[in-house]
Amino acid sequence: MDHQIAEDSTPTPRAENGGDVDRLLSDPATWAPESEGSVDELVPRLFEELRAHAAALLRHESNERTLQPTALVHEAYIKLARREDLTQVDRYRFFAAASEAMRRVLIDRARGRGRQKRGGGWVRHARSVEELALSGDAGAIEGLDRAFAALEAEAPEMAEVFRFRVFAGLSVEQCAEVLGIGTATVKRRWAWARAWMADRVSREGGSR
Amino acid sequence: MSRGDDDARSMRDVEAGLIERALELPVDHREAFLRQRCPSDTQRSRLRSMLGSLASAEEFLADPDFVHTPGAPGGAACRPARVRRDAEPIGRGSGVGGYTLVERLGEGGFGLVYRGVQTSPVRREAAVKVLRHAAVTPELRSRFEFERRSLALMDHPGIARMYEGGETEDGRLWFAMELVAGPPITGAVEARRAGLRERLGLFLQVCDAVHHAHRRGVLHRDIKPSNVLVGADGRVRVIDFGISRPMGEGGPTSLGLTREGQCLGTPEYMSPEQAAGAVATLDTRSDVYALGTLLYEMLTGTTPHDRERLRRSSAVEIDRLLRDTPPPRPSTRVRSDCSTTTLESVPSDIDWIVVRALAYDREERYGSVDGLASDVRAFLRDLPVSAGPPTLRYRLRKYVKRNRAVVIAGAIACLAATAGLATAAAGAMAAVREGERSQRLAVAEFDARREAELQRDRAVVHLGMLTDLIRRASSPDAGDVALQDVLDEALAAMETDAGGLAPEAEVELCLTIAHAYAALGYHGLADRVFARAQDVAARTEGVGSRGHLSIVADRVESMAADGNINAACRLADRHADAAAERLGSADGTTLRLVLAACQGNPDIERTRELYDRTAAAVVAAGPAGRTDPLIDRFRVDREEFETLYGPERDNAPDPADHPPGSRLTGFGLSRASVLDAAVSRSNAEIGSELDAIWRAGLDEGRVSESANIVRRFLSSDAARSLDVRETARWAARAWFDTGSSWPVGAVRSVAEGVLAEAMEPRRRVIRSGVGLSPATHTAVRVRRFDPGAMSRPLPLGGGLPQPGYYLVDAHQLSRDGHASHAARWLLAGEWSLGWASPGSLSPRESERFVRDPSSFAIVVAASALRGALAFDEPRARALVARTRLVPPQDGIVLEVETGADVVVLVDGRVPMRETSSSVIEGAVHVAVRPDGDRPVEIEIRAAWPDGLTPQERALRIGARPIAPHAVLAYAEALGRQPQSFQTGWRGVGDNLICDRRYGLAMAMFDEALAIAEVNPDQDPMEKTWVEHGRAWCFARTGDLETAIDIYAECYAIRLELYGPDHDATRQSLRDLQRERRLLAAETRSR
Repeated sequence: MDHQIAEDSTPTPRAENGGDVDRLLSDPATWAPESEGSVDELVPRLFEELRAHAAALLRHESNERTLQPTALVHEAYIKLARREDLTQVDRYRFFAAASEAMRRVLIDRARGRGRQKRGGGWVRHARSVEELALSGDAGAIEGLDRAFAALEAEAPEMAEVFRFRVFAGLSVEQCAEVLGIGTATVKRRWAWARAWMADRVSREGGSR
Repeated sequence: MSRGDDDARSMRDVEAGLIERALELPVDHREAFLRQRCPSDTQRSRLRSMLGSLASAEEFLADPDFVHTPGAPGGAACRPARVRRDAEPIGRGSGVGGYTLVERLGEGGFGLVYRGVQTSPVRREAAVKVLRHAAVTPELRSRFEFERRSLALMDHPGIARMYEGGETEDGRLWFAMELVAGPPITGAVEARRAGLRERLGLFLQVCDAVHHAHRRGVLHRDIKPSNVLVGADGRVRVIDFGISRPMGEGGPTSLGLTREGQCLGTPEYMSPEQAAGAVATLDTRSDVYALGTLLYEMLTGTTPHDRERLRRSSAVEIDRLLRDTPPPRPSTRVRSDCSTTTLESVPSDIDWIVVRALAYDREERYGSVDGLASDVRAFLRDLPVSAGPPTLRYRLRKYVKRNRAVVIAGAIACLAATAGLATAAAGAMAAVREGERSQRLAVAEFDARREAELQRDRAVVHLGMLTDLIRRASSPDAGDVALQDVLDEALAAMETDAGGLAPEAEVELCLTIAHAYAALGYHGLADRVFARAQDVAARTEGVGSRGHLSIVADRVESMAADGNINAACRLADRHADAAAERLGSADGTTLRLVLAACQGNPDIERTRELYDRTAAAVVAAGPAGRTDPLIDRFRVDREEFETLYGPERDNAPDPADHPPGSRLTGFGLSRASVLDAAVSRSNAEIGSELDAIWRAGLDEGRVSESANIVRRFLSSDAARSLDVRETARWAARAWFDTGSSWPVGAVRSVAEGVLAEAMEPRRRVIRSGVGLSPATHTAVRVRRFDPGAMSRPLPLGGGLPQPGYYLVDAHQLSRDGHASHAARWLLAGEWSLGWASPGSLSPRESERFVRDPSSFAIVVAASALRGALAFDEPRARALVARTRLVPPQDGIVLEVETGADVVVLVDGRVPMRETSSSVIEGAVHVAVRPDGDRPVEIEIRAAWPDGLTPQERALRIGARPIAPHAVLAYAEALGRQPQSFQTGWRGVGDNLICDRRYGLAMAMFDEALAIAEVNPDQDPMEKTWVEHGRAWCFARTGDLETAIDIYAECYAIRLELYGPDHDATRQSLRDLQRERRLLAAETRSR
């Protein structure tokens, strides 16, 4: 009998290319598990890279609006996570560095180019620090940063959660993982820190 | 850290807890809450201030991490706050597209969802989803668009309805859909403290909705409690198709919706393949997994895998975790102390269902949401679920639950039996046996269905008596006991303590155990028990008694089914004469022994003697025995023997024609002995040896002989060293090149064993029957062997790979005397359908079963047994008669997915084409056409108790020789072109050749040629195939000259069309040469 065998013609899916930032961060030499150098050396490099990219991102707001700086952190982390030697401590250090990088980028930007605005009304709209940064409200950012410094001084454990959530854009669960505490604790602390910060910045704003 | 710091910290933690709780309360309840929970004034005022600030700035950092999933670029865009104030319409009166946005309900990765009110043309509330920003990447935009389109496509009460959509003035996409004001499904069931059945009922609603989406070509990909809400009407609504994705090829990449390696979704509900980012290959089974996790959470209150752990793991870690750590069964979770569900227990059936839905390997999951739902429904109806372990005990428990009264009576009998009332037990058993016999006699009076049911019930009780199964099955503490374990126990018990049993009872017990073992494929164990029965019978009734000989016959058949042809032959041969003497040559037992003694008997003279003697007796017995399948088989075997070793053939090899030293020297047994010594040789060496033999056979027109050698080799120990694929190849060759219906039981069992191995990945479906072992596949006949195709998964939505070309021929089985196998198929079909007693289901119920592809496969397999009707007519008939079904248009894709299983299991000739297949039998007609837009047609007609082959029956039914619908089905499958009809007739003709109905086959080929004549554009190749069929018929009916002429013509055509190296050309040449040699030999012998 003459039953032909048909070829299976399923096309192989092709991964599409990402944007500029993607490419910058996707240098395999940086991330490959087999690459030279330990995670220890990687983190400071990352820090600089993230700062540079985030800053670039914020500068060119009109062109590249869709990628958040915090998303950058995630992208970077995903690549880092492919390394098999990544430990809990490395994770913590990475996000600590990354959030610090982000914080500085924001402050730098606010000081350098932002316009001062009056009033604490921004508090009502700042859903994330990126939005805040893009709003160009230098006063707002500085206010936030001042409040954050106060939070760090008063309640470091709360500040830590706040830092990771806000500046590194970590979810509650990711926070829990990086900090090595339960999600319930993170949620609790986040609620507290957010309320505290809201209270602080609105009072500060109101006092002006 | 100082003491003071510690204190401050713990105080803050307390505060944090209060704030968290307070934030969940409406604003105006918070104060009361603080008063109640916070005794300290200063602390309270502090908290009040904090809460107050947050209340007036609800948005403050409300969304710091909205890129929830790693790797998802896009997310929300960033925008100056100025724009936000203008563009985000939260205030009263602001709105989009005629909807006034009242409050924000939530947000997804890139959209915001509001409660909106439409005032005109109708006043209604809606959930309005708005793209967060106007300026977004095209990727995001198209994803939003896709969600909008998908929703618009849906039309299902379980999916939030789409109202309308559009674009705002500032360019943001939006759409409005049905507002579902209700809690997530998990919360809903807990709040209601819903019982198991209620939970499952709600879950089925979810399944229906998701299944609907699948039928519309959309994968949800983010099924989780928060996306499955229970509305005020108590009905489930699936929402948020935000990351859904079209199925099928081209969709994802062309839409740019989801990049490969990009991982969207929620880790703890994601299927392993989705978590691994294999976006392009995701299919419905990914949603099946997510539904599994949903069900898991609905039952246990927790997700299968630790949420925290998954969320903090990398993709690689997740994959490892999912692969290596099967989640605890729901029942254990529910029982554990820290259980968070109000459900008290989860039955093991549900465990199995969940476990199967959550299988790491998606091949092992349900093939479709519908399959999952069917199992849940089966559970709700106390029917066996397909996911369950295939233990008889399990099936029995189900049976018991449905038929309590009957079983209680049985249990009493069972207790009596185990209490040592051996005589009573033996009597009862004899009664059951008698009952079975009378059941067999009741063929003509099928209306006495109740009687049959009663018999079956008694048969079940019989089994219960022997194994104490029912009693143990009724005990809730019993673990999963496989039938084999029970048998082992019974065997052990019998071997240590059979003293109390009367010999007759012991024999009965042995036979039951042995047959059960044989049915499970444990022929070695079966043989041991048969041997014991044989001994006891020899002791009590005497060697050569009817009882003794009947046991020998059983034993021999079990041996042969195990491929142990030589031993079977020897044993049968030893007793055949005694049987003929005591019982008569035409007696059934004698016949069975003779058949076994002749199959593979190296002593040709002895074989001839046995055949001749029996033939004389059968003729003397007259036409009354005509419908006896044993006699049919005897005739076939004998005819075959005569073809191979008949007088004219014996004279064929003229020594002058084959001078010493030619390669035919040593042909035959000497070659075989070379092979027998091949144990230590490599596959390649054995292969080339077989090749040489084969070629010699072809060249010299002695294919049958070479096939015989190959066959003998394959069934020898030496063949075990051969690679399985090699074995299969040779088995198939030895089988097919010799004219298809050659009685090559040993070869077949080897080939089938191999096929069974090849089918391993797909066995699960088959396992959904009763405990089917590899030996079950003795019912499977390989037509064109392609193990690779078998094990490849069939992708959904077109592009089916050619799954090869397989045949299942159950009635062949029964004709070969493997009644126990045929019986097993029948039983498997029944059990899987829950038909513990035929007729216990309504047509509607059976339709439901057929909707589940896995049981569907079994239905068809079981119906295939109509060829084995003589074995147990009423049962087969009841089974098949119930299956007059035409499933609705739904689920075509699903049938396709298990298409390979259907094809493997289905009786008849199954040409499975790229997008279609048809199964043709006179009585069974199944056309599966998985081409996506036409329904699957299934029509299984009642089987006929007339002992005719389907073709013969078809002949009687229609004016045309072959049931027109058979040809029609072929043509349908191929597209209804004239050419298709031609192929159809030819296909039927080929099948008839397999049954050696050459006259009929010739008529089919004539039909095909008639079409060819009025259709000049036909493929010349097709015509040569028809001609080949005709030539074969001519040759087999003695007209070698005509056959040679036709072959020569075909060879010429093919040579011209394809050149000398084409397989088809070579085949023509081979056929031509073979017939020429035969003719030459014939001429010489005259």
